[in-house]
Amino acid sequence: MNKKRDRLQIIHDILSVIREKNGKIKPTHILYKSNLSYQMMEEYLQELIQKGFVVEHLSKQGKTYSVTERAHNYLEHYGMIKSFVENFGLD
Amino acid sequence: MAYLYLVPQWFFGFGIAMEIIFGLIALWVALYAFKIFSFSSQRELKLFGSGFLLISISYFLWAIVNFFVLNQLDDHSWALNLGQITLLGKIGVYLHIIFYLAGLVTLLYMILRVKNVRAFFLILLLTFIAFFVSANKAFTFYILTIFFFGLIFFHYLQEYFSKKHSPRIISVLLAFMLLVISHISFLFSASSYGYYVVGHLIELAAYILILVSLMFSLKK
Repeated sequence: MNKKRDRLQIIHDILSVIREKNGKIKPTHILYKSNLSYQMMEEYLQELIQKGFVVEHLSKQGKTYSVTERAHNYLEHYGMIKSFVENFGLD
Repeated sequence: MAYLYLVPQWFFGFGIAMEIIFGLIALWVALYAFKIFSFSSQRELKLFGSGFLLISISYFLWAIVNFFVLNQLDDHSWALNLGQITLLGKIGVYLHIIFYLAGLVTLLYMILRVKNVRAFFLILLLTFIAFFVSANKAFTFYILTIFFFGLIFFHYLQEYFSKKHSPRIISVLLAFMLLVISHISFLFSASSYGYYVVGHLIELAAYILILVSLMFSLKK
């Protein structure tokens, strides 16, 4: 990944990686797959939880994450979102 | 008595038709932005949609005002004079201005990327105070719109030259530049009706460019 990713792309990457392993993914795995710093990943995850895209699960094994229906909608309409945001300079 | 603007008789219907077209395009952009917001929850999309929705309502009110409230000045021209219209007409004119300024303040708040709703209401309040205490309301309204459109244009200019953005925003950039020019033309529309016509034609070009951007978004 040579080009700097924008916000929409980062959110897309995080949601995609969680969806791939729905309900069983740990923060370290997201960190590795999303190619972000720990602090950045935490900020994005908190935002995604707050907006209802991701659900956090706590167990004896630690934290895991799963995606919601909203995240599926986001991934499905990602091309449409990106196109509008880029054409109107909203990113 | 000062006029808000003069309208040539032959342009009466064209002007109203154009204002409805501007309103419809702004409404389409607003509704599409809200649709995209429902998928992404991006704050900018909600503000962008709200700004265009307010501007859209303002254009429809402008068309209604022009249809019902204009006074015939002579055989060749019509005029909007706040001193010669009914209370209902005045309410219509002020609502048009309030919605337009509120829409522009919303777009400005979006580009400033300030996440403090009190800052939004402060800018809005200062804008309304500047307008309502002014002795020449038409002049102040157009000065404020030129200032706001100018700031939005400058923002898009910065975005265009930043490495983050592709040349895809050039259409919106040019649209806001044309909106600045059209409102400079409207600034003089109280002295000569030619400026009112030129302002509308330039504004039409601006909304065609906004429509082009929307069409490119719909294609993907």
